[in-house]
Amino acid sequence: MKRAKRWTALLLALLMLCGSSALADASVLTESGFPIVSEPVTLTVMGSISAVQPEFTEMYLMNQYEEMTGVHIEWTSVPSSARTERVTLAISSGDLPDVFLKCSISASNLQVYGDSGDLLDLAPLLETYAPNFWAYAQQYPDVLASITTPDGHIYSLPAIADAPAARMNKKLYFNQEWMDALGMEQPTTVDELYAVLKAMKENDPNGNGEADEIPLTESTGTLYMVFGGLFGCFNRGTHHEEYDVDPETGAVRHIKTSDAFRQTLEFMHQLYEEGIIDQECITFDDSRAVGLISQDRQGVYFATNLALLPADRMDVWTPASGWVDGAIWPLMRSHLHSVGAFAISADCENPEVALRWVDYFYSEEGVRFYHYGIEGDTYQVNEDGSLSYTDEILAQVTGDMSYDEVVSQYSPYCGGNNPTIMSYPGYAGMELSPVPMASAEALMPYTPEIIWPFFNYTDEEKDIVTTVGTEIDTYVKQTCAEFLTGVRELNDEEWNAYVQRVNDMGLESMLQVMTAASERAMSIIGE
Amino acid sequence: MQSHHARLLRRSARKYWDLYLLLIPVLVYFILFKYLPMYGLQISFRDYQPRRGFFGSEWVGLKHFARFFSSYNCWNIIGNTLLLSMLTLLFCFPLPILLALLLNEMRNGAYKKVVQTATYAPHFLSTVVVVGMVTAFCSPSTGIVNVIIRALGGEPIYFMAKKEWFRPLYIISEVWTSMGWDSIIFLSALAGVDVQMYEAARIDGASRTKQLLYITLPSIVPTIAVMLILNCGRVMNIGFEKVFLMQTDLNLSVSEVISTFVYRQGIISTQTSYATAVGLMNSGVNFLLVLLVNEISKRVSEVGLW
Amino acid sequence: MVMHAAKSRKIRRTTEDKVFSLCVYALGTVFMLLAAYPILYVLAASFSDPEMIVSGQVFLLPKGLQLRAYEAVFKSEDVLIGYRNTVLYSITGTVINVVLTTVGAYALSRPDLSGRNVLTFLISFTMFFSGGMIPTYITIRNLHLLDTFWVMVLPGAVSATNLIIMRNFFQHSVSQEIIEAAWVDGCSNAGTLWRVVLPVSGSIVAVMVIFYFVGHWNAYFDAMIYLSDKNRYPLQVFLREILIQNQLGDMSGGAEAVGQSEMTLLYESLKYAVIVVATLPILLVYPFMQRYFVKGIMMGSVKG
Repeated sequence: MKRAKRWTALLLALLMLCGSSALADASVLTESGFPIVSEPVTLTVMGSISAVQPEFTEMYLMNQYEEMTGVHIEWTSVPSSARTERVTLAISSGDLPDVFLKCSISASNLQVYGDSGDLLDLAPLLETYAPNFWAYAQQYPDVLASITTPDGHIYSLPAIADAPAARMNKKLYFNQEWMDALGMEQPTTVDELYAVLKAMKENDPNGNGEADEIPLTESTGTLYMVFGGLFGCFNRGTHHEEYDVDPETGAVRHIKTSDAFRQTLEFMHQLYEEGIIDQECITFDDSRAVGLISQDRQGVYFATNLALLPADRMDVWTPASGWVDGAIWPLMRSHLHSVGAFAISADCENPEVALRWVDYFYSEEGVRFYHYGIEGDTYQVNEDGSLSYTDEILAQVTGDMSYDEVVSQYSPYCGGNNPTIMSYPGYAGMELSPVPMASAEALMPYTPEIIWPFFNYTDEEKDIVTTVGTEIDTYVKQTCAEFLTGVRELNDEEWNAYVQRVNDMGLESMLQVMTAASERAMSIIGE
Repeated sequence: MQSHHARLLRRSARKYWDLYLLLIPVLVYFILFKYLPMYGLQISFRDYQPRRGFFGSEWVGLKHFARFFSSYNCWNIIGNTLLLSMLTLLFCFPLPILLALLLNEMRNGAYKKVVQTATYAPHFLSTVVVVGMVTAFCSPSTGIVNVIIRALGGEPIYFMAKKEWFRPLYIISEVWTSMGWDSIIFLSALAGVDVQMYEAARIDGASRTKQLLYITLPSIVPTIAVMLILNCGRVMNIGFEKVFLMQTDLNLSVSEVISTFVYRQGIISTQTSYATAVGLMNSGVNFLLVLLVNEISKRVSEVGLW
Repeated sequence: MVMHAAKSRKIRRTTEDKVFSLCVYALGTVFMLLAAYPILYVLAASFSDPEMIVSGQVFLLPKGLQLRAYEAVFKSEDVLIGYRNTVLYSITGTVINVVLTTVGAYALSRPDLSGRNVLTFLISFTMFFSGGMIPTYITIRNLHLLDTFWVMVLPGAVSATNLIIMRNFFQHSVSQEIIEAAWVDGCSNAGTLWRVVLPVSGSIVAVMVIFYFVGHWNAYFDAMIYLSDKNRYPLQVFLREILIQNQLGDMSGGAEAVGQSEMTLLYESLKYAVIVVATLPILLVYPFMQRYFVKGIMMGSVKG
């Protein structure tokens, strides 16, 4: 294997010596538009597929795209549940495809494979060969900041979240039946918020005569963010649950040892004691909320969309019309949805063709093509401007075939991590249905002004983050939950002991890392 | 007696060579699929980079081991791992033997089959489902355990949120899923006991309790010894999945074990080398433990792995 | 007098034995109920309305009876392909496993095999130390086993643990006299194993069959790593994919599923139905294997 590699290297060198063959490849590309190549080119692609999806060769749009572009694809499909291992094995064994598609390669893996020379650095190629992506990234440089390593390399194209509803990972919904029963309006101050929650708990809004109402439930992590936002915490968005910027000093701070967060915990503890916050939030998973809602026992719901709920309980929920004045709604990410959606291997002979091939999906037209296909052929435009598949296609949705299975015969988007933009109206996810969209729009003004992108760390920083950082996070997680539930009393003595312990664990070095990483990221964004 | 037989066999070792013939397929298998890939272990001492390969990656010596031991919480985590696995061994090892003995004493064949099939069925449940059921059964509002506690006039307990309940719940569910399955091997050993010995004992007037204590148990001691040695070889390998799924914010100080700790660190950076190093350390400890237990067992019961 | 004493001793013994027997059945029943309840719960949940499961209303009987979970599992042809493949892998694999393990264990159990302790030690060593996923993959690729039928069978051809367990049985539970007798009759080693040792080792062979068979039946990881052709996937891979597809999940992780009906409540009953579908066939086979445990006793009584 080693020898084979050396031979390939030699061969490549020879080719380079022979002169123009490398350049000749570049000229395979057409000026612009379709087809993208002047002579047939073949790319090998390793793509991830999930259970509902057929092979890529059986997807209508992928075949259409092959004709449009003139690029023939040889697909290797891997099951989505093993995509991480399959990428690792492909790279470690040297059997590299030209392109990895939808494989959800993690940021740290990208950096490892990139540094070792297995993945191609896309940074110098993007402006020329991926004009659509580049234009978007110039407009929203937080995308670039998220995918650029500390050395300035870019090893993958990401899935981009554009529509507010796609960027906001949790939206807020109220149980309108309860609000009507209580005769209350959505809260705009902390006191009103408390009054609404208290009334939900005590005034039997579901009218069954039992005090079985649980106003709200969520994971502790989400609850910290929602209530922390009332006290100015989590002011750098949802990618960063542990660190943000102190509004007074402008320095990076550890959120969960700040005084503001102590106030948050005091407030939350009161709510917990009064039974307003679910007593079982420690073991929360989504089925908890669904269970409560199907029994009409929950008043406030936080979720991406309403798809989880039983059909007969969906209409109960009304989108938030705003949030508490002056508070932050921190559950908002940057324009980056997920990295590793598209990567080119170092063995690829036509990287510029691969880039042109994928770049179309980052255009307005390409987004529609990727999710819905061709107007009149596979999709139609509705009166309100939204898109939907044609009636003939939707007619295939029966008891035997789910919606996802039907559309997967056409589009590759199911399973997520797509190299495209989640924008309205081209993106086909459930977040863009009316209620979540309305909630997202109403909460937009409350989202943090500056949202930190994903941080990429240097090797030295990584060592600190993985050791000191993880240990602090683990300890903080347990202690905050103890304060929340009252296992540990939240008084000066206990709080100071907790803060002291976190400092002893090496918080200072973490603050330095976060400061350096955020400065690097913000310098790319230019703020 | 034993040595006499051995001598006799050795003397008549005329077709000695065909024993090796029988061994060849097994040896080929172990060389090909187990020993050949073992060069991979060296990445514990290197910074593995895929393109450079196992032999080309930079040699960093004990860096990854040092990193593990320099963690703030490392000894707490090692302690949690050892305690949890020792307790698991303490309960999960003897109970299958007890179950096997019980089944062996059952004279009603049909009932025995029902009991056996029921106890061994939980082996087939996936970890996710087992933990899901533990959480569901222990829910303070709707869980059956708390329904019973309330019916008896007690206060419901939020088991999953109490760190003192983490270990009991882990062990109980572990016993439940493994007891029937693990008893199979002891049942097979019990099937090998000479029935003539029982007949002789009955004629001598020994009660069934005595038969159990003086015939049945001693005859499966070799199996018990070997199984114990093998189990000691897993002490550091507390399964990742189940602990991870049973972790809640409030039990982290007792539920964080080596495998979950390494997983948490791995989220931020890819650490093939680091994870391999920690795995190697675990295996090393287990291996030493087996060497030790094997020696003790050879002295006490004359049973050993080699 | 003597008669009387003997009689009273006999009576005392039977009372003691009765108490003993009672204890045996009582404890056995407790164990059975403790194990059976969760299994019955799984069965009930698989037939229940997922809403009833998540709101904690299922205890012993299905609530809101429905078959959607089973429909979801069986509607895809893949599951039938998976069943076929799993049966083929399990049977072929188990035959290879049991033959190799028996032969190897017998050889290692013989005190006259010089070097057997070293060999056993080296084999035990592999229970603790392995090269890891990547070198094993490269080895298998170099053997040209990737994406073939044999990759599901050969890489796990012998388990060191089972080899040791079986060797231990041959050493301690098979009488050395009968082996010796076979020698005197001029039997070869293979002949001794086949004609003398195996007939009294029914129970351990049955254990090996169960251990290996169930191992193959539940295996999925190797399939996901080494197979690309969907037509070769075993049942467990399809079932896992169906589960993941239907998993309730929050989207905050970022990289996970995007689809209209992908996140569905059905998962809650599906995960139980999947267990029933995957386990029931093998659970029903087990009682038939049990007769070999009894047979072992009868054969054992012949020896000596």
